[in-house]
Amino acid sequence: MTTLAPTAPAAARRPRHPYLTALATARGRTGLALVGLVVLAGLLAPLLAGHPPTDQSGLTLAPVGTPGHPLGTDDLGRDLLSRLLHGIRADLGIIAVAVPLGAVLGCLLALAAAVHPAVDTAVQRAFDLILAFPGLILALAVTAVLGPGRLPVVLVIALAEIPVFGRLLRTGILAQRSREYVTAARVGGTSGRRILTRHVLPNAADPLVVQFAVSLTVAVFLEGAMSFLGVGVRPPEPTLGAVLSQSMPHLAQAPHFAAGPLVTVTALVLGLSLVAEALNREIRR
Amino acid sequence: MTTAPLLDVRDLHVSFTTPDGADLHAVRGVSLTLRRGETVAVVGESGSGKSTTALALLRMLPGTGRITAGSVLLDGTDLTTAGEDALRAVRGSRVGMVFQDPMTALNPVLTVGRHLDEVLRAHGGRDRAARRARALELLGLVGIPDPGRRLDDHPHQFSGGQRQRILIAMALAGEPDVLLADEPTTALDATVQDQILTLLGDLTRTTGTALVLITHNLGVVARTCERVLVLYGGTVVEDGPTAEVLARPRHPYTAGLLAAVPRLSTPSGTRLTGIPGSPPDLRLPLAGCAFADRCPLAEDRCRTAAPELTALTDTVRAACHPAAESPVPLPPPPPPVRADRPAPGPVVLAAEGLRKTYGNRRRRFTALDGVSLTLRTGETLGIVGESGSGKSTLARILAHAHPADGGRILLDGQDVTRPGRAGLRTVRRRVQMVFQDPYASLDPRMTAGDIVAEPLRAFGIGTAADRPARVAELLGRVGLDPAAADRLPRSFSGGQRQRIGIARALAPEPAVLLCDEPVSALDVSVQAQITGLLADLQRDLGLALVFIAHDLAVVRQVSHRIAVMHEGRIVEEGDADTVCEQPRAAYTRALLAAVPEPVRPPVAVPAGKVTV
Repeated sequence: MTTLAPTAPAAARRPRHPYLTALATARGRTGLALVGLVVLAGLLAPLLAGHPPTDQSGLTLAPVGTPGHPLGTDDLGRDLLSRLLHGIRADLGIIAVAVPLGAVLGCLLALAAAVHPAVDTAVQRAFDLILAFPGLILALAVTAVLGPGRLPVVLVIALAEIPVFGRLLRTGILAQRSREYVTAARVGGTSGRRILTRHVLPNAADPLVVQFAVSLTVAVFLEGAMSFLGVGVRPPEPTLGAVLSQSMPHLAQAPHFAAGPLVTVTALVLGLSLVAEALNREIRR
Repeated sequence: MTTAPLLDVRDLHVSFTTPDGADLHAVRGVSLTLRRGETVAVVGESGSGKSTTALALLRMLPGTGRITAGSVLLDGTDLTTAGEDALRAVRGSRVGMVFQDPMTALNPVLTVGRHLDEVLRAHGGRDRAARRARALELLGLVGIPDPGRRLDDHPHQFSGGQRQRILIAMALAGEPDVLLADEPTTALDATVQDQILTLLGDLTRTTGTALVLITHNLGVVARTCERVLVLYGGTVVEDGPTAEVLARPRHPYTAGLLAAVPRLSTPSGTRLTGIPGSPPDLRLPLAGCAFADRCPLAEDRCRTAAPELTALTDTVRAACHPAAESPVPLPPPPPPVRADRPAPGPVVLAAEGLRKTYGNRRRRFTALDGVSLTLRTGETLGIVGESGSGKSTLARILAHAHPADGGRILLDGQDVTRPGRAGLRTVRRRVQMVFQDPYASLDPRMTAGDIVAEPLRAFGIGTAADRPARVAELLGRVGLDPAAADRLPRSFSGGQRQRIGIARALAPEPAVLLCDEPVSALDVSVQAQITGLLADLQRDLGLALVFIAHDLAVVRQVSHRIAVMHEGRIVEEGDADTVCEQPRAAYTRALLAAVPEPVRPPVAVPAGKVTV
């Protein structure tokens, strides 16, 4: 008594992964293109820039289109294109380390919390403690201890992301754990660790992927804000926030000074948001 | 008879777009007429398009659903082309609706009075005091005792049946001409279902409201409606007076469905009758009759030309080529087959005085209160009870999914109530479980093969190399194509998923199989396949089965012995036939009386008289 339909069409057998479907939508493609453009600019910075980012020329505050300086120069005569490209590179380097670090740590803590109620309480209170500090206060506190530089920025971003990912995964784990297939696996003799990694985690992971894209945008802001306040990466090394901060006194004479970082940050955040939105829509279907 | 119908649905077609872009043609040309005060049942199994039809009438289709053709005329106005304002005027005041799940259909933060008040205000009730008086009257009408006091209560203070009554009151608030009830009793226990059906019947008689009752349960139809429409694969296959259709079905599907409904009068050890195969894939275009693949009378033309709904008698219409040419109704189904069951062997599993309490110090709920039972090899113990009787808790405690608070569990004579780590592994190899919901009990991200292989891994049975062969054998054993091992659960039907669940439970070669409502989420035509499979497995492997269900008729047929549970206790236990024929406990009698039967047991007609 075989009840299966005789042949299912081959295409239906292995449907495309929903993430790929999500990224193939117009929204997803636009987001990916914007992010790709910015990432490419950062990666190719040494080839595209033409000048080292800290070289000074005689021209200060040169306008857009000056020969040799397509985006002009800053108040110290440094090439703005080069500073922008290298700034992107520095920014991406920081968020590409900090966000995954925060995500992994947050998820590990959530998994640990799932093992025992006592650990759960401890982890939850630790998350509360971190969340009690607004991001920038946290940034100032960390730099007050470590001094400005690249490492504190990475640490601050990672620290801010840990409770976000931790709580999200914990919610997912709790929701999935009450599902019947988990009881079925338990009655089937599957060990607790395997249930957590093989059943619960994959089914709770979807919101994490969306959160990852959202967190990248938050990290871009946080890095910019720290550099802007002067507690981020130390000058003269360029970052997007630092260039923006530097342009502030000169905005009246040279508005183009701030345009580069603003456009880049907007493109990056918009791109990441579109990707997150596309993934979210596909997952919720 | 000659008056224009109140509601006239003509050749309605509804399509959905699936996530992968394909078109799912859910309703394929449904026509239906309803006169004032008439009660019509729309019957069908899952995927027949019955609920979609109901929602399409008021243009309330969810998601990507859309009406692609046809018209819905309410007193001559076409609702398929009406504007949103016109539709709002119709919803509630001309057509009221009652939904399936009374637990989620009321807003938990609003009082019942507010719910009714809102509906009354939407229908133009201006005076606050008058609205309250009307709300009181409505609550009284649907049989809520002491309505004056209950009006300011919140939904959680009412039972499931009372909530459904409140929802019916809300649907009636606008004094509609038509009441659309979509599976109004499916989420309710049998005794409560009985009360709600009686209420619906009384209300339609006293208020003159026409009723369209959507259900999968032929027993419900027989109890409530004058006329019945049988849907299959999105088309109407038969339409006629209920008594006529249920007594003398013309369409082979109606006949099959009727034969598949378990009857309380059928003795223990009888195989359930089912319809072979599974419902049609609605993504594919339909060349001929949707039922042709499962039909015992199918001819070549059934697969190429779709039959039209044609009048067979003055009142009955059916869409079937062979039936249209035959002047007589279909012959009655063959009598049920008795299964050959081996005699039960020694006791494998016993429980003594099991207790379980949920909750904390402030709110306690006793789920099990001193439950004792024994189970022998090759025996099926049926456990019947309504929701909240503790039957699922019992299964979970016997399977060691939850610990017991008190009492003892004996497996092969050894105390396994609180096993150690090694002891638990032994218990789990010997005692396995099949779950109620074939959709929730399979991990959506694992393939069928991985799901079945999981217990093999967990218990270290065989090597990684010979597991695929064992998985293929298990899948074959439960009637699935072993080639399906690399497919995900979502590409299987409900019945097939339940087979995967059974294969998983069989993997560690258990001695005891605990089946927690294994067929209650399945269609009647499919549930016979699953109970038949369980009976075969019991015969071949000598399994001891615990079969938990709320449907006494099914339990009687599959079980050797029955235990009736009520409020955490076993109120009656005994031989299956004895419990059903000479019940001792008052609760068992109430349960037996509430089972809706589609027709009286068929009267035997001498063979010669059929062709007169």
